[in-house]
Amino acid sequence: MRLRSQPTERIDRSRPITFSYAGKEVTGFAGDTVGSALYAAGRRVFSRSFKYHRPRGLLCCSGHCPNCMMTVDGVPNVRVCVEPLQPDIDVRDQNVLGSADRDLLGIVDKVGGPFTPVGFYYRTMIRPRRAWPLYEKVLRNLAGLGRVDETANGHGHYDTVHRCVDVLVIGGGPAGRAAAREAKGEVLLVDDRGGHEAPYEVLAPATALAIYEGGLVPVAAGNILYRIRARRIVVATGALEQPLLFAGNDLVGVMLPEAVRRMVDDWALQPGERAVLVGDAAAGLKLQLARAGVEIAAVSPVPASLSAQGRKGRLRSVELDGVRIDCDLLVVSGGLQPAYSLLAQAGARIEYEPRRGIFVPTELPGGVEVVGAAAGEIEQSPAPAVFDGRGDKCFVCICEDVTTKDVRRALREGFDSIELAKRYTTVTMGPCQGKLCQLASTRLLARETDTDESAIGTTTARPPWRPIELGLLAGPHHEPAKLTPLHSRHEALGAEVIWTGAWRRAFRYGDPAEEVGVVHSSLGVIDVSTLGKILIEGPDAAELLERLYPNKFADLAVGRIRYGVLTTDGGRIMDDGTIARLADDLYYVTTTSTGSESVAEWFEWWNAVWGYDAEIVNVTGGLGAMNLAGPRAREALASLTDADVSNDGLKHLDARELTVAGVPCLALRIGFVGELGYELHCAASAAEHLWDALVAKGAVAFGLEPQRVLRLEKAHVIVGQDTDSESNLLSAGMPWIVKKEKDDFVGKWAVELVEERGIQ
Amino acid sequence: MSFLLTCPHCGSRPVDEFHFQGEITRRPGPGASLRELTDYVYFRDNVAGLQREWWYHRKGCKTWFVAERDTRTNDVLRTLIPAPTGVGAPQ
Repeated sequence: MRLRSQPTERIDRSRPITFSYAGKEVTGFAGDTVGSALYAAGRRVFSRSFKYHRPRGLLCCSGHCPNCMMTVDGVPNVRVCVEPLQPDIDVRDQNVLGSADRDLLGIVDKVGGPFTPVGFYYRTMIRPRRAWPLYEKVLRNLAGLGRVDETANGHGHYDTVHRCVDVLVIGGGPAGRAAAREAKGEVLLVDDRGGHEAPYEVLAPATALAIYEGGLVPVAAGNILYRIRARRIVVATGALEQPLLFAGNDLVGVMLPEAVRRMVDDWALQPGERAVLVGDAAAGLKLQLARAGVEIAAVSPVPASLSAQGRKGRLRSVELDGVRIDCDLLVVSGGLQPAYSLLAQAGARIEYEPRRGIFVPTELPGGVEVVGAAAGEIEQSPAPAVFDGRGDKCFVCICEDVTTKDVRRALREGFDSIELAKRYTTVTMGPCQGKLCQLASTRLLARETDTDESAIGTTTARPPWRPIELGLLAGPHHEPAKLTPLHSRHEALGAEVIWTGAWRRAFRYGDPAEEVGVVHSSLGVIDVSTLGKILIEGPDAAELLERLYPNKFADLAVGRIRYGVLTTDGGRIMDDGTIARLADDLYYVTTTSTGSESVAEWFEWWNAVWGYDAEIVNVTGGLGAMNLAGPRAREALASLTDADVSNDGLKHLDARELTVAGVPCLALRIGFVGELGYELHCAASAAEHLWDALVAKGAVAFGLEPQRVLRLEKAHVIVGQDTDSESNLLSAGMPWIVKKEKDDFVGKWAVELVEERGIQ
Repeated sequence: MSFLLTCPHCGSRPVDEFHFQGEITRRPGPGASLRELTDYVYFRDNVAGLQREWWYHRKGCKTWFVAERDTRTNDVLRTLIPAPTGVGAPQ
């Protein structure tokens, strides 16, 4: 039911929007939130509480409290009071057995007694130990928030946007807008409510989640996470209305003033029929309530005693200083508290000020400023920390159903600091992240321990400022794959393709045993474009390699190849490959398929450390490579080139530039898979042509699996598979590669120590 | 960790573009004692304060450079490409 048209209403009554709630069709208007549309349709109970399954209704209408969390289109824990209404969405209750109105688990609130106080499961569910999984399963079903849909692959497409600005203003209230207007340079204002017309850029609705070092502010806006870098950050996050602690303070019908204001002004809703207003902020709503036709039963300053009574979780009356007044709406607030969390994360100090009963930020870090209510520009007298009295439960934390009794119990058990009480009772750890319970729990602890609030302090403020979907942190699904220039050929041959590091490689084409047989008896070809390929050129190229490898490279003749293994100074084997000397000052190094980047970095680092004059260029992606292997390899190669590839013309471990099938190649004659073999490296663009020519000469493609079999047969070590992070040159059976006569190489001491002490 | 680092080539960039290689150590020459070698391989000063360290612009120009960073605040005082010395550690 709606009020007649309100002067400031945000709904457009000419545009109805239909959606589904609990399987039934409900209609709201454009400009509604899901919550306001449901309220207009008569819904009063919006959720069941975390532990006791008590009915909960709209409390803050600001997206802070947990009371209106529902599952929307499969996304759990959506605060429907601020979720814009969209056509055809599917809204459901969560954490209930039945419905929010009739939740069978509500029994917990009635009979819970000895089983539900804070920490009970630490004491009662420890024996027998083996039964814990069962206990856990039961508890998880009884308590908790919404369920994640395990079958859904995310909830849509998420993306990340990077921005740099001169000034970032967080908050679109009067103070934030004024700061943005005065700011110089590129100014961006983020507002978690609606946007507004302004001479500066506005991002809304969007929520700043944290302030990290270097002026980095992640901002959630729908399915996009903005990573904003700002030279200057102005925090104008305003203040948070705090609840009061009194018996029955969670009943449906107890509301904070801002909620009432929004319901009437924004959505033309009647928040109740008979209201009691407690405190100045609530009294200020008389006009709105009169307009909404609400009967005002009482207006009172903050009383000495206060409690609320309800039936079936709904407010029926309040007791003000001993006088009982029937009502279905109690508007009350414990005052305002500056929203300081972002500042505390950034490193500001948070100090308690007893005169106004608030925590205020001080000692701001460089580049961060605060304006308006967030800075503590609030005039108020502190409300009582808690109203004593018998009656219903009195909640400190409505997110996790922590009562004043729970906090007192934790104190009795010795959890007397705020951080300990937090961990034991979970107060401030719920979805509101302390927005509505940090101040209350500090003040309660101070009173109960007879100290002051400054001594108690606050819990550590941590990102994110409001709960966000994991998808926002994960960003877009992005799993880049490296494809070799021959990938289309593997696909055409129906290869089974697997991941090796970031590469997609042909694992096998048919039966690996048959592919092994072909290499032994005739001719095979394998795509080895994934091998790292690095050029090292310069006057100091030889000296650099000499100091990085345990064997010698300064004496390697031009046109010859030598096998090399890289180790660290700790002796660990890092990578291996072949090194061909192409000219006096030019070497061509191959690495393992996953090692090209780390080996290039390693070379470049030592080049910088020693200050050598050598250029290191990683050409892996620019070149294709294939290994032609088998007894018929020479015959096939000879038929495709004019060059002399006889046993004398191209000897074992010779490197030669050849033209094969019209393609300029670097041919390396090496025993990669144990048979006579030639590794042909060519421009990536020509690789398919060369491959096709080799296949035309009868070469049969073989994959990674037969290659491993062949190398195992030949006892060729595969670094990373036959070695691990503890392998050294001696334990891996390669003593022959260590040239002890060299003065120095990286890893020399380690190998000498292993030799001295023996392989463990 | 989200501070900005100034690459000597590319200018101020977010730290996640870089690879951190740790504090600058001096590699002992041939004939060093076992103690010196063990110190070099396994031990670091791990100072709380100004530290000279190696960085690599992995997602950028692929340059190794030296940064002077306050490990307590992540303030980077300066970055530079070290002059060659040939002795296993930049000056």
